[in-house]
Amino acid sequence: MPDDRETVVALLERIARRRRRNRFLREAAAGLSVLLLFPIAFKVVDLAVPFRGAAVALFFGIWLAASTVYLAWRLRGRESLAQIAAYLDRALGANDQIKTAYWFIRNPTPSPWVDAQIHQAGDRARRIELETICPRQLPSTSFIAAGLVLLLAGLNFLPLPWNHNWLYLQAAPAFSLSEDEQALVEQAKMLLQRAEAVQEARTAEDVQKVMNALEAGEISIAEALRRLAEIQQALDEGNLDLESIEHGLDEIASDLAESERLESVANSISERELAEAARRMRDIAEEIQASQRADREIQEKLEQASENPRAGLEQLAERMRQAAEALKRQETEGARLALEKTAEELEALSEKMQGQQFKNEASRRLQDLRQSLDERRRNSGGRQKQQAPPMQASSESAEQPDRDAGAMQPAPDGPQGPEGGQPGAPLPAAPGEGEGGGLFPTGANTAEQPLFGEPTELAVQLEREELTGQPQGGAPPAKKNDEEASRQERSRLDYRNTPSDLSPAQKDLLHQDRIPWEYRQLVKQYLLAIRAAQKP
Amino acid sequence: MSKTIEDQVSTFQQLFHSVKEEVAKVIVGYDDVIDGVLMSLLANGHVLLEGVPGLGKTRLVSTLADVVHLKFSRIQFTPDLMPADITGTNIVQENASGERSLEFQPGPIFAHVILADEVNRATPKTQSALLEAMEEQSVTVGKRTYRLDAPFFVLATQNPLEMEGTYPLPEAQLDRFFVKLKVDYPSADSLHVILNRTTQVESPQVSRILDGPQILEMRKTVRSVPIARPVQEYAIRIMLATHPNTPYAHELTNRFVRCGASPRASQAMVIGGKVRALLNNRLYVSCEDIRAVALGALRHRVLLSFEGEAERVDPDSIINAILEATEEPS
Repeated sequence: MPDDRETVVALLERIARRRRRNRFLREAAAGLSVLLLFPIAFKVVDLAVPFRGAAVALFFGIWLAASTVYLAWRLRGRESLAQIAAYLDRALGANDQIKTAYWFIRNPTPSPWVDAQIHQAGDRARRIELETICPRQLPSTSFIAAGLVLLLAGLNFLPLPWNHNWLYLQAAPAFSLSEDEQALVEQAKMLLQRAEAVQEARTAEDVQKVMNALEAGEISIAEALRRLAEIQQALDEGNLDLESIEHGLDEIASDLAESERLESVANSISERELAEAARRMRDIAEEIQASQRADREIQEKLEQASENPRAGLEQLAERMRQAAEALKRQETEGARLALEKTAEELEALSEKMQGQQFKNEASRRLQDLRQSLDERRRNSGGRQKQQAPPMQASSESAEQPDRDAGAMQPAPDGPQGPEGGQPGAPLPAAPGEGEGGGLFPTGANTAEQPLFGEPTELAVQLEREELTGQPQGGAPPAKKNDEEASRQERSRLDYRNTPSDLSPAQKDLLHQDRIPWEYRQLVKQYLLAIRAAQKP
Repeated sequence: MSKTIEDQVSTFQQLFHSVKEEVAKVIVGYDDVIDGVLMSLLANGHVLLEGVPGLGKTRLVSTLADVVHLKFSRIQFTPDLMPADITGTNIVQENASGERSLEFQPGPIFAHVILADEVNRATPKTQSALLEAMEEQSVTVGKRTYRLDAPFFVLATQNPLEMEGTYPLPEAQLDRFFVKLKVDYPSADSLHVILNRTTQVESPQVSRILDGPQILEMRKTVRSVPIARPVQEYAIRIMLATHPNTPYAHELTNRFVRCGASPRASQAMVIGGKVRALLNNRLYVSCEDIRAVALGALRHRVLLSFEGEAERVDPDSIINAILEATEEPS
């Protein structure tokens, strides 16, 4: 049986540990109930405006540090055993019995009264059930904290396309491809990989690197477009002239088809089954070697076919010429070897053509991808310009004169476009930027003018008309039009304030501004002109 | 608990409750006062009883003297009472042969239980004679000092209403009282019992329970009870809280108290706490014991300032505020 002093001290230590644990749980749960609100709010904001990985990592770093400091501050200090003894006395209603006993244990006093007092405290300590006096507590705030944790986790698993699961270390990329763009990239990569299998290129890897860099925010869209253009240019370099090859193969097939024994080869070539043609060519070579007799007809047709001058078929023609010469010299073994080489060349040509087809397809996908990215770049640039005040827009354009050149920048030479000045005609694309689509009419103030698409038929017609009374052909002076538009707009607004007998549907029809104000005067004059022309 | 200590405590409790029961046969409705008086008796202290006339203060003391089987003296303090009337004096005695000599004639203070009735009616000189005897437990007459027999227990009474022609006890002398007990009017139920007992043919008789040696033994037991430093610290904090303009001072103390309690107050709280601990079958003093005796031990030692006097602040309210505000040290 342990000593009374040991019993009292052991009890106090157990209670101290239990209270520390309960306190930790209480403080941690309460603290987390508050602290978890921050990442949840951050996640909610992330659902609206996705944050990048660096921002998320920074936030959670700060949050973790702040949480740690807060909890450390809350959990600072430690109850002494004397304080535990006082707590125990209060809990038991022991009138300082344990506290006094502990003090006398720490400060021994030779007195039978003190010994008796410690003995009483020891007896009492032995009867104390820890679970009764200091039970394990799961604070109610822990349920709140657990709920908040689940909420935070649940928010990460929300099935939204723009949601990023932080638990899987996912965050918003600097630039996200649309589904169509992603599909284009995947298709281009697949085609390039198939082409690479043939031509040992690294283009697919380069495309993926560009996309990764774009999504990571390491490069801008313009830079991505430039690199994709380079990749596409590299793809186009050294391309086979498939059309020429196709024609040449047709001609070769036509030549070979005149020979009965080469007809099967010719048919396979015509059907572009070059591997099959190679196999049949080998069969013929075997037959020639087995018969030890050179077929003159084969020699002539091979010779005829070898005279094909098409680009890309030089090697094939050379092999056929060698075979023809061997046959001509009655060298069956040489003819067999030459035909074997011809068959190999057919197989190689087949692979080349197939690879080229993949490259062409991939190039088309890349072109589509570039167009899509370029469109998004221009849209985002247009939005920024619309949102930014004029001063900012002008300063931005001044700072980046080259980046927006082409599709975005107004033409510098007055109201007419480069091809005769049709309003709204697209400007030519910058080198490597693909086809540019003009957002603004040439020569117009891009910050103030409305957006234009393709010119309407009516506008085209109006501009081509020679109208009487019009001082200059084409569009009327912009200043006059503006004043007229303003005056008429004022009138229309005033008119709206007066009672009308029209039905709401009729009003809606009247209020539709299908004809821009700039052209209304032209329309009016046009109608007056054709009415005058119809009168006689 | 060792057998000896257990026996001591048991005997202590038994004797205490027996005395209390006997006194309660005569004195009705003053359990707290009886407890306070007995506590002071066992703590070797003196009691100042304050109450209006007719509440049974004198009766309480005389009953107590009967129960404890001690020599009892009653001194009615009046303005013309002289110190010699209390302490005694040397008188000339003539023997059979005609020789004359001075012989000390002990005064009423030479008893075990002294009732100093209306102590504030005597002159300060006379009061001093009593108070010296209380503190020193000896009397000096002429060139000789006479030791008073133990136990020596003084119960002084004073009337709080009649201030005319009284000599309020000086602070230094008030400090010599272990506790000051207030005797209030009894409740209606208690009055019924009092009337029933005192208006019939037979008066209640008390038995003698204690004698002097037993009281001295009980006092020894009281002093044996240990007190831990945190509890002692609590008593000291309470005492220091009555001192204005000190770190422990309470707000009311700073405002209404001119002079705080002396260390005797701490002694009174600790020793009174020990008595209470024994009565509650404990071998140690708790903070609860200190709180229980603090009021009686402090109320006559807290001296109000002019502002406190002007606003008629009751020292009890200040002490209660201190007790509420003072935290128990761990």
